[in-house]
Amino acid sequence: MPLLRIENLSVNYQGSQGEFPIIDRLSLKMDSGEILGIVGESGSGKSMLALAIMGLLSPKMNMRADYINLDGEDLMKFSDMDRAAYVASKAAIIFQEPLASLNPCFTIGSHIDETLMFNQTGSRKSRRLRAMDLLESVGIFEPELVLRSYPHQLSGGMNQRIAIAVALASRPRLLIADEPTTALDVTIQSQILELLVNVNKTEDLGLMLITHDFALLSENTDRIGVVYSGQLMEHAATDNILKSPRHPYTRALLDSIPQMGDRHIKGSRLFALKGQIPPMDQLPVGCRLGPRCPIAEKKCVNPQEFLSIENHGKVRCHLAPQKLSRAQSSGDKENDK
Amino acid sequence: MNGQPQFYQQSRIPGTAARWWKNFSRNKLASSALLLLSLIILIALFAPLIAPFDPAEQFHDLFVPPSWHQQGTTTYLLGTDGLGRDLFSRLVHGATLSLKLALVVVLIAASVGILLGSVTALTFHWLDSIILRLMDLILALPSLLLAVVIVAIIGPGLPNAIYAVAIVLIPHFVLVTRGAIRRELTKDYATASILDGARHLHLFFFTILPNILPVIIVQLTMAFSTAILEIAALGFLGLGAQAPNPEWGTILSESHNNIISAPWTVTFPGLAIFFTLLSLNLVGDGLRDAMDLED
Amino acid sequence: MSLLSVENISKQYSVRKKYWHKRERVDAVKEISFELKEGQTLAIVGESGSGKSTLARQIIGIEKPSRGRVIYLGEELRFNNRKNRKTRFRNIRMIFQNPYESLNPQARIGDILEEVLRINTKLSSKQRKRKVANTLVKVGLLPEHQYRYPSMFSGGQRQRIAIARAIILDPKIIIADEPLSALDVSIQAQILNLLQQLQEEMGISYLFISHDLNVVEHIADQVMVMFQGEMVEYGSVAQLFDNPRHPYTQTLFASTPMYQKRFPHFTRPSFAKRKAGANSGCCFASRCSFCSPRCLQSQPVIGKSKSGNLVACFKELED
Repeated sequence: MPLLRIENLSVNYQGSQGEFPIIDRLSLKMDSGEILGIVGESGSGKSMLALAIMGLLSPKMNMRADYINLDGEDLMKFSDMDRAAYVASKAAIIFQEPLASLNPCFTIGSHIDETLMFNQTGSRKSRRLRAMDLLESVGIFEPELVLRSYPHQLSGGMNQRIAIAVALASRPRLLIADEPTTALDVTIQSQILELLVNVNKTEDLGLMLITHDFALLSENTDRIGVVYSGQLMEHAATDNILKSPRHPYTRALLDSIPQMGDRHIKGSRLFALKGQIPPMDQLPVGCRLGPRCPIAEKKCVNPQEFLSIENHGKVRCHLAPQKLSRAQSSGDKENDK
Repeated sequence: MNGQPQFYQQSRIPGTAARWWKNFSRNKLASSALLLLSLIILIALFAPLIAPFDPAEQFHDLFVPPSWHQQGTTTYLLGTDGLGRDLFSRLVHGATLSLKLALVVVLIAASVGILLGSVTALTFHWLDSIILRLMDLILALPSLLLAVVIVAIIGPGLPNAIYAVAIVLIPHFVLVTRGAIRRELTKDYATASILDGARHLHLFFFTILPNILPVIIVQLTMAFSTAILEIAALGFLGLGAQAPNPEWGTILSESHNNIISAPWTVTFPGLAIFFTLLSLNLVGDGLRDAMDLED
Repeated sequence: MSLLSVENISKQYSVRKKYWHKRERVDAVKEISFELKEGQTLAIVGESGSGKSTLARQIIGIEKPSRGRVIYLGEELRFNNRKNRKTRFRNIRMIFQNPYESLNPQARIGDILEEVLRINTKLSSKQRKRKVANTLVKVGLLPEHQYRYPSMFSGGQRQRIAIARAIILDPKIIIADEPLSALDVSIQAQILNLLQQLQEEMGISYLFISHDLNVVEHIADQVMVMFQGEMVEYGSVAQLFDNPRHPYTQTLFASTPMYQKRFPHFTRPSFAKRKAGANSGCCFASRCSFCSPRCLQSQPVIGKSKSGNLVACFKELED
């Protein structure tokens, strides 16, 4: 049974000037022990997806879904209070800015202790031991010292590790990481990612890695979901996506990254999608990528369905089933990883 | 071509002030408050035309209740006070007085405060420290108490009351200006302006000033409101405008003993102060929202 | 003669940890020297705290260097000299990292660009307006955009405007401080293309500061790697990306997903295990997997390694 199953999730923002769609009919599923990468740019709604699953959306957001099945229970059927309690025991989330996730008034020990108190019974001593275990499992070698420290006394990388430790304290089945490494230096990024991947293996939980950096996901994930402007455009196994991306947006994202070995040659240009990401109040009719898509045609004005492609995954593009020939997708580069 | 125009299909792009006005007018509460405030200002401006009588003129009808009361007459709309003066005329002229005084106070406080604030933000560290400590000193004392102390030292009366309240308001302008300018200087576009070769004065008027204006405008409205209140308080204590000036606080000081026997002589001046302050504060809040300020 | 010659630039700040502590000197930038030729792109790579932004500020003239000289076309650019400043403003321009903060929100785009011309050139009003319109088209916008305020543009468009502000004086050098970091991936490619196009059309040299190795490989001719204020490696893009020698450079590659495949044998960075002596010893000693006792005692001077890269490392220089 999959760990997480979402069917037709839609989130709307209730603004003073009307309702704006943030996420539109998003469906995906995730298995236990799987690492799912969600990639998208700003305005894609990827962070909102994380908040929607965790039940952390602001009151101005309306959420609708056929069902959100987390470890066997449908979240949409719960009352708000029951839902919060259930999600707290089954899922955890870490955010981009470690200093924003940790309360500067409290020591690290208090943070972990607070989560442990909600999630297990036991004496203070047992909690302390567990806290030290947790810190060691995230690679902090002097746990006693760190437990007594305050967040501002520690580096960004260390704070992110602590945030992961706090998240793991509740023994979640699903760990969502929303841009966990964006605010950190490159050398620390790789350490944190390595840690997350390890945790996924040792604790056998599902890891949802949300980022805008495709390169990060190519190494570490089992499956990837590509989000654009509130819609899931492609959802397939990582290898499939990297070898033969079916959606033009996925192709564009991959092609926009300077390829290795592509040195400074006069006249060489990267493939770049023209135009801008559409603002919330001016979404294109039909396929949201339409105005920017290099292979757009008349039928793209119709609402696009999420189609299943054999041996690949799901794609939201009616042109996907036909294998795209080189001539059709402009800017295509002859490179397969 | 890249960079397709996004929203604004209009041919003329509105300037900043127009945008602020549009935002402000969308706020129903603030717009109504502005209407009320404009009414009060109009009354203050045209007091001699609106008030039926001279505020100091005494009639033989003492303590006449307001016109809707059984014993009231329409001659004296809001009744008369203990000396037979028409309350309505007194209040109307009082509006002129209160607003005029507050304006003078705010002008003094703002000019000195903004100047000092700019100086501390843009010059030497030691000067900055001295001025800040001085401002801290003034802020440490409760504003009304400080005003009373100043007036006690330099003597009661209208001009001194003005100075006292102005002094009390100066630190707010200094701190607000200093904070805003320092924030602006950290911005990249200020650096970019310097790198374009802009001289100091040019930098101040074109880059810094337009960006600190919103904060200063809001501070002006709030200071205005505080000024009216402090002047009224001083008037009530007999330290500000002296009788027979129809300043609202002074009116209250004369009539507060009659709160049971002639409540209208206390209620209406109080309401006048209340509504003026309320509309000022609501307009200030509305401005703050319209101009998109954080706090 | 090279276009720009930077000699031994150093910058120290004196900071006080707490109010009662003595003031300490912190080296933000230590003895950086390099040369920039016409039409070339020099990329400066480093993480936070490496001093790359501080270095940019010294070169462009926002701050006075504690030591060292900046020489442009043979002329030394002194910090306080009026004439030097004029040369600086016209010929060395800057693009900032955050497109949302680098444009004055209360000024229309056209005014921002026109002010630059008004201060630095003797063009008439009509000529200025024409140049503004032309420059906007050059960066991929429309002339009518000049009447708009920055808030009406997206991040990518704002960065284009920042680029317009930089190129409008036809400068010889542009310092770009992480110009792509705040942009979405699909927009990054657009802006990168634009920068390359402008370089080819106008012959501009770039000092391109970035922490993104992918982008650096694509756009740079020469690459300089900085760590804690020091230049630890310098070489052509081929030298650096085919055969990086300094241990820190190697950890950078090992940490970047795409390059792990190319250099599978590079070790990932380890925790700061050893406490290096305060100011002696190599800056990277505490994290280096090749650290030897000598590395903790004295600082390696930058020199040419076997493969031609300039490296500041004992291990590399001894062979």
